[in-house]
Amino acid sequence: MLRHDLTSPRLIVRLREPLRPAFLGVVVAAGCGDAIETPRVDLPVRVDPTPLLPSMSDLGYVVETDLVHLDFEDLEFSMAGDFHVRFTPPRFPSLISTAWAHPGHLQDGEITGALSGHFALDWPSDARLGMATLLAGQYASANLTFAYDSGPQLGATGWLHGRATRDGATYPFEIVYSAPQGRDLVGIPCEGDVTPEREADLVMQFLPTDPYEQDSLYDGLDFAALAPDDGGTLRLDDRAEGLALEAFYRVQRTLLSHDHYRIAFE
Amino acid sequence: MYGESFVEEGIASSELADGWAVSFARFAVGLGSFELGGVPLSASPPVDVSLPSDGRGHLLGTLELPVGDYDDARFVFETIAIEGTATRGAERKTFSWSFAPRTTYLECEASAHVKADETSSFEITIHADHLFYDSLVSGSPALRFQHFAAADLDADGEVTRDELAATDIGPLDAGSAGGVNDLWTWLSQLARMVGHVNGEGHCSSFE
Repeated sequence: MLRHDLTSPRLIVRLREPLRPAFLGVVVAAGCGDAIETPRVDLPVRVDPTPLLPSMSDLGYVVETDLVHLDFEDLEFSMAGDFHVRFTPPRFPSLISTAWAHPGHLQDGEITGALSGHFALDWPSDARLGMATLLAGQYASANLTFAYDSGPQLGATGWLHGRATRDGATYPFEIVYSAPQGRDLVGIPCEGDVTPEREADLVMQFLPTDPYEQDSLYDGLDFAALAPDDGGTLRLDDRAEGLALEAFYRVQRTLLSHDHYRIAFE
Repeated sequence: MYGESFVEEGIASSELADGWAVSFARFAVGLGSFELGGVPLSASPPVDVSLPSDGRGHLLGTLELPVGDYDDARFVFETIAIEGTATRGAERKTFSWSFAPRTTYLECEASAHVKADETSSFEITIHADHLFYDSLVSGSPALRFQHFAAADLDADGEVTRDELAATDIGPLDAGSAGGVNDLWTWLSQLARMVGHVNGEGHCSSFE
């Protein structure tokens, strides 16, 4: 049974046997009982090439993000009408009560589009990931599975670097993080209509400021307090200690959430 | 309603990845409602499933239903109140935590089979170990207590709600939705997931 939250763009529940690119089209009855197969549409998926916007944090830092890298697998798309399992107070007014599923349950719903493979991408860039195949319909969200770098940052899921400035002082930083094994990112906003007539690209975006809550990815990070004494680059990863480790956990948690990702139809 | 051995006898240190053992002096579940086949169960006071039950659980009540199979059980947990102790070697922490989750469980993976002139049973099973999961989303979370122990900020041996609320969840995985940053919010989310049916049967749980 599916539930409808018409006000939230981030609703997804995946079926226990999600449809893969080889999925069959949904057959619907029409007219005098003739079956009509829902058309499939192939849309290109690419990375947003525009520079990442500066983000103002809650501690008054203006943070410029130069690069964000992400390794992931298997991008999947879901239509509107599914609901996203959340463990937080609702971010949006909800027509139906929020659902929590048992940990370990696949937060299942109907996957009706996919682009399979392992992808390593940077924002910003002109990279093209390939052609996703989607059933025609109204889409709401997307999922992916975090993966790991096999290159210079071996084992890392992602990294980003930039500069934070406050009171005339600038603090360069680098953040390197890894997701738990097999961890999915669920409920990336991806709103748009897919029809055979519409030509559109699916553009993967990273947004240092959450467009819905206006929270900065860098909220709570006191760069001045964390910066190394020699004025070098602040590196936050799981080998940090003390306040730096606490700061790392906070920002990693945000990077493992869907808050700063979006897939736009352009 | 049955708390299984984890509630009645405790969770051994071999079950937790960080070597803590947990025992419960009280695990009282306030059932707001229970309904099967459209027939409601009469209200009852909270049930302390930490009390020994010889493996039978604690009787909540009886329903009279026509012969048949019923898969539409739904129930509401209004309150959960737990008191207990965690130990690891010489370390010892106590806790007394109360939740008012108002959680509705439905779409459960279990059926009740009512046969003529027989008494059938339907069990609400409490999985207390879920309170110690180290992830809200993993399919195979580990059990841990150390993050709660470390939240005893005044080192008085008791881990309080206020101390949990003042402690960040650190490396614990709150999932894609985000918004869970302190240990009290974390624990409150897990408290919504302890209800199961007929042993290992899962339900969807809603606010």
